Amino acid sequence: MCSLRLDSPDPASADDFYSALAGRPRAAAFSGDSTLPTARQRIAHSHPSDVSRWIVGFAVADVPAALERCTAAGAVVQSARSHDGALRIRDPDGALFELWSVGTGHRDPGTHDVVLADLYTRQVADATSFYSSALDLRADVLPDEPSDYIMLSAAGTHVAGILDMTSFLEPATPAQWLPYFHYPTVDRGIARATALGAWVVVPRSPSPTGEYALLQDSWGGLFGLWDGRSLAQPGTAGHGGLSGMGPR
Amino acid sequence: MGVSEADELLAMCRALTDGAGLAGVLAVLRRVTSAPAAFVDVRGSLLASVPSRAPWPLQDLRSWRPGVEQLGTPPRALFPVVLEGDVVALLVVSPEQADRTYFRMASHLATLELARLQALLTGRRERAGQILEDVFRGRSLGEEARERLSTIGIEPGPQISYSVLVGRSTLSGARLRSRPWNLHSLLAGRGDPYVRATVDDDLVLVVPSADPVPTIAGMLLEHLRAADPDASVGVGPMVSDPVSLAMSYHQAREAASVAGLHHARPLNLGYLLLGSADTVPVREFGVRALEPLTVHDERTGSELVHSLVTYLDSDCSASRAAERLFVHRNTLRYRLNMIAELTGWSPDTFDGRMHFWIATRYGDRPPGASTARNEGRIG
Repeated sequence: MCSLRLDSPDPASADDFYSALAGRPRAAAFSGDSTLPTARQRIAHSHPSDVSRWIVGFAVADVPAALERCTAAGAVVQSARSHDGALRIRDPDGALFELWSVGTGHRDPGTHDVVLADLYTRQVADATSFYSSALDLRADVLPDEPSDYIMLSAAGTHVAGILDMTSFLEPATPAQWLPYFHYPTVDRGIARATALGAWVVVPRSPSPTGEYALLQDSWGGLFGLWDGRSLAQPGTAGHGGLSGMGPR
Repeated sequence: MGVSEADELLAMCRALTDGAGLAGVLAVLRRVTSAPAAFVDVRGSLLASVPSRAPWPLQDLRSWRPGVEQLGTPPRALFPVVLEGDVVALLVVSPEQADRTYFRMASHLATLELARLQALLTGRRERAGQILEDVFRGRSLGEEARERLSTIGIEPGPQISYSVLVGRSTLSGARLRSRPWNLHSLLAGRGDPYVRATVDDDLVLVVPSADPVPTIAGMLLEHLRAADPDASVGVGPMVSDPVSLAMSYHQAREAASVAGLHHARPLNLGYLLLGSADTVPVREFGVRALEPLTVHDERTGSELVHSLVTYLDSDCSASRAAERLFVHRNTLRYRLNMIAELTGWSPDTFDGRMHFWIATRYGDRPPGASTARNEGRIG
């Protein structure tokens, strides 16, 4: 992915929260060591919203072609921003995402890199088919409990994933893309995020690509923490969120 | 307790001693009862869950109040984890799986684990409290203060500033020292998220500028209100050197004198001296200084003390004070003359005003202070 936007009912406070979580430099923590995520996120705020809502952006080589594949598969264009050319799209299951031209996302001052994002949905098969086709990504099934993890990759780089939220999130939770903040030790990330006011929804858990946790911010938005273990494993498909996503 | 129950209790104990934490206890519990189970802190934040991805009524748990033993749809049974009289977490399970003996054992073991971790933390808080108190009282200054503060992770300077938060409640200093603040941090072996200490029975947090201070102040108030609905939190200004840190503390302390959440006003040296006068029994002297007036009020039904406080609160404007008292200006003048006659100090002189200001303002919740202090109210 190449960008991350947050619609929030309280953009200023949300900015304070996520800036602190993403690791503005601070003095050594009281316990004698410091916790800084390796990814320095900057998050753009787009529209006010009743609850926090993330919109991740994917860079593709040919936006019109990708758009054609998206709409043919049932997606709907929500809006096109004239100043940066990004297209906001609602996928057939209702999850929002954006399409960018390769390169534009990184240069645009309103866009910001993220480590990784996963689609939380109840329609895993449909979503896998949609995103692998629309964004020209390779989909691999990684066995996991209680449901498998779909790893989406481009040029051998893990750029996103899809997982089934049916068994652990409330039925009213809509399909959505969620970002992961990189904390090499997830428990430290949890301690940091909860000190800043977040709640834990899924505690530190193993996954095929490392340990992660799912949390909720003060405005109802979900976000993840991830240890990025597969980043440090040569020979495996590494997470490429920081370098953006290109065509396969 | 039967043999199999004792075996399972031992298995849960082993999970803790092996470092598997609360999740280890839950894993044993799940093996025994087949029930999904979770530990949740009293904010409704999940501490551990087996299986780790399971549906829990977290929204309902956020509004949990003591005495509630079941909530959610489908219903979940709650077993409190109690630490020194406070419920600090809940064990959440499906009630139909209830062999309650195992659940009680698990919640007691969680209490023991948290108490063990908390005991390690209490010593650290005492040390932090000693250092902060020395800096706040001016017993540690300059480079020595910097060095001592750095040993507890406070390094004020051009790159980083801090705000001091002072929380006040009816809890004693000892209770505050031993009360957990963030169980996630405690269970991760990281102690308190911020430097936390107890100074003069107030809970003090030192929060760096990179963090959202209003949010943390709100969480501190919520934490204290769980034990005392009239708790208060004062927020000192951001500062970047040890002397200013002491000023931030005293300002926050003054702001915490009224229930609720308040930002500090600019430092008032008068209030600071009053709050720090621990070598003279000022409160008792103040009571004595006002005694002729209180005796007169009790004997005759007059309102000399109330009139005096209102006059001082009105910046010594007789017309404004009379209006607030719903009396004629001449009536107030008569009362002020009476006060001078009874005490030997006239409220119309500067020395007299200073004398009466101290007499009426001393203490944590001075009479008539609400008007001025409400200007700093933020929540």
